[in-house]
Amino acid sequence: MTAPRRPDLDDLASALLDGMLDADEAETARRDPAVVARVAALAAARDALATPPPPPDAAGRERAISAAMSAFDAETSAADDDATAADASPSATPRTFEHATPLPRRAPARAAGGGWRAAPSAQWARWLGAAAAVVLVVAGVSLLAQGDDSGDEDTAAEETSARDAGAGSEAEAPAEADDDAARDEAGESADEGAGGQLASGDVLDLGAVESPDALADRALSTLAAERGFADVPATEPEAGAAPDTTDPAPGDEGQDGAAAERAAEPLACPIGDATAAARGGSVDLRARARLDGQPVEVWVIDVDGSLTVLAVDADCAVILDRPLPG
Amino acid sequence: MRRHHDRLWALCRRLTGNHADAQDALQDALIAIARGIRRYDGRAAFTTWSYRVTTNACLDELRRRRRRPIPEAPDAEGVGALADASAGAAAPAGAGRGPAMGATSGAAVEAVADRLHVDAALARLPDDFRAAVVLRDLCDLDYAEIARVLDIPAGTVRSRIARGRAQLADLLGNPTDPDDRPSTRP
Repeated sequence: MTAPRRPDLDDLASALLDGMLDADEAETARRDPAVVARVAALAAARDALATPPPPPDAAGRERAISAAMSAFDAETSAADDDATAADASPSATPRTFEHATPLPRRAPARAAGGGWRAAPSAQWARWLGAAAAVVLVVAGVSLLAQGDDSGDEDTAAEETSARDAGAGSEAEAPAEADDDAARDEAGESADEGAGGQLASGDVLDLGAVESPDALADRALSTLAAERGFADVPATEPEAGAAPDTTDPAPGDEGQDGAAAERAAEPLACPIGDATAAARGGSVDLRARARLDGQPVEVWVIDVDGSLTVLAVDADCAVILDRPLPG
Repeated sequence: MRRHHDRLWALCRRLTGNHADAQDALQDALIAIARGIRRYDGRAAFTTWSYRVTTNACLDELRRRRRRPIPEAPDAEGVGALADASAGAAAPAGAGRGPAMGATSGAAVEAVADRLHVDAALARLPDDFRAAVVLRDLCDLDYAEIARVLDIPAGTVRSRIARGRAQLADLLGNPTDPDDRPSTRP
């Protein structure tokens, strides 16, 4: 008749097997023949279990993986549909974005051709607020560039006040939505005015041109000038960066090709924004011009770094749609 | 998915005890992983997280199996493998198969029998003990990881592993059938 097993024997033996005892406990356990014998029995059970069973055949593996990927695709589509529905509704509750980091998007996919003609929504209000802040900043810098060399402190004060005004409207944007996608878009639209792209509401006047080629050249040069003009530092410090206390960089005083005149009235034809959205790009420049005396509307669209100029006549018929160099 | 498939399959196979239920559980687990990957926040290792999802899928499958009124058919995979291995071992030497081939097939029979024997023994463990032991001895997770997978304290992990191993050792060392035939009785 075997003696009844000690209640702690299996625990000691299993812990010793896994190295879960401290040095003293382990030493004591190793000196106990009953524990040592039990360790051997448990080790045999462990070894029997450690051999993995043979995997299923390749066809079974692929079936299982395909079904899982189909579920993933379905989940992705449902999440995108939810995002579209949520953002399209002005009164939608801000969506807590539980999912992982979304892919970066260059342009809002929901920009519709007639969107700017529609009644203002919360999203448009956000963009207009950001655009207004950028216009204030650029206007302030423009005034300085036109001849006021004195008062660096005033400059800093103006920029600070303009930045604060911009930050106020920008801060509203992330606060209105918790999801990362909306936050990225608000950040992009707010950064457009400071980081090298025009705010969504700016419409420039390219003046009179004699040919479509000249119109394309004018659009490109204006865009380049606008980008160079907007590269003036201390308009929008990056997150985490130290405040810029240096003098403004050369280029913001009487720069050639300074910003063209701006108009508050948006373009009448929605085709430019719609084309940008359809191509998965963004509008870098909106402008009016006169081609052979006739009014035209012009867009420069950026798709993954490739620029295209698009122009329409008064009837919204496309008269120019060509890539731009560089 | 492909990189982790076999590892997760092994867990399902050991936890459920038969090929068909393991396939169902693994399918459920992979779908849950695919759907839940967006919520994976990286705080735990992916391995640990995927084991957690898979273990839960297996435990759900086991609960569903208990509710099924129709008794389970014998494990087709195990019977087929045993039959194939036995056929190989029984081939006469004069049929073109040398002694070495017969010895290999004999080892195969023994391996399959061992696997079925382990399955039968595991099937007799309570689900909680079985999960802890399999996660430790098959998946090689440490106690802290097992605690995260099963959402239990580390002390409970140690206790379940000890008791599970003890029962397993007793079953493997003292089979219920006199002729050492594997039993799939749950």
